[in-house]
Amino acid sequence: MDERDMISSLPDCLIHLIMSFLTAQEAVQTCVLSKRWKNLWTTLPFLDFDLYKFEYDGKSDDSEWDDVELERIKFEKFRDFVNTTLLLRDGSDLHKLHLSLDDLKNDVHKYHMIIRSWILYALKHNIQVLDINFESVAFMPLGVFTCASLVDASLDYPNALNHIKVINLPCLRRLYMHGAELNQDSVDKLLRGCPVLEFLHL
Amino acid sequence: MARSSTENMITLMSSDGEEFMVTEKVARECTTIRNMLEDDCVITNIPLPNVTSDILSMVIEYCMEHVAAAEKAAAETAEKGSSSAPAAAKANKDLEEWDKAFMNVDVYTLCDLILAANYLNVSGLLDLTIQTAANLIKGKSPEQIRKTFHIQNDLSLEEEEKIRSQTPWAFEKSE
Repeated sequence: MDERDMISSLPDCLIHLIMSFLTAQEAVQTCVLSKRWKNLWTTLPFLDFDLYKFEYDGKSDDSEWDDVELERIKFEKFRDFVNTTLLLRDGSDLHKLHLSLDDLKNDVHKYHMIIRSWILYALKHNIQVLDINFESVAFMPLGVFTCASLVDASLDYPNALNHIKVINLPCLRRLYMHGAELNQDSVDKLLRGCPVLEFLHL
Repeated sequence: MARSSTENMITLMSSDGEEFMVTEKVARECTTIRNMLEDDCVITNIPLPNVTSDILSMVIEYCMEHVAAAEKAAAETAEKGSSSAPAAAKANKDLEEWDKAFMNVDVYTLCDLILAANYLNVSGLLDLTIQTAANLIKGKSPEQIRKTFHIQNDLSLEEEEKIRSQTPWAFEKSE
């Protein structure tokens, strides 16, 4: 019986590619597989934070909480997970950030500052692909629209672009803006600010 | 396989010395080879010291299938003037099914294919193999993942406990 451990002998970049198809939680959890895997996630350049897919023991000890309370507890666990993951990364570039908060319905405004800080982290680590599913606009740092490294962006950002003054995205090739209704001024501003844009979906 | 007589043939040589004759079109599916051909268009014999014959024959099989599918789609478009959406969807689905069956391999072959797809730069095959490997990890406990890939756990119980106790935020769900 062949018992070679082939996957662990793949170079880091290929293991990272495999991890890019996992949620950040699944990727971080590979740290207990063996010594080889212990720190692999700390240099992972692709992070997929998805509140809906986030697993936690929420209902085990008290089932009397209402949905709002359960949502709050889940988000707080999720928040701790995202914060700690970003804190313990080794500081290398983040190539792709997927942030999905579809599950968050109540008291969204309370979390704007923290969500904003995650996106700021990405902007400071040369983010190239930003994919954000969250139907709220107030958290979006303006730096997203002047990010020199951004190549591909997918944003739930209806209409708010009409209020953005400066757009300067020199490398942006693809932009998906779900449900956006832009006025002509905004479209002009967008096209002027994105000189290499190849694909625009509104 | 039918091919025009004018089509260039390229010989690819595996690490164990086996030779594979393929059309230039098939060889060009490998970006690494395409770049070589573009640098030197008279090259007809390419040694691939990082790929064994078993794996190279699989990579070629994948490239031939995908070239044939693209040619068929192009021929249908040329014949009818435009491609019909249902036919194109069916062709895509057939190719997906083919890919899926092609990925019915053991984890060693899978890892070898990942290395070969990366070295030869066949982006479709790299995506397919990487996704397949990720699917083998998804939803599994660390112990199941180790078993699937024969990962030797060289952490002592104490070390593993220490890692878990340092990363409780990652292990919210008890197994």
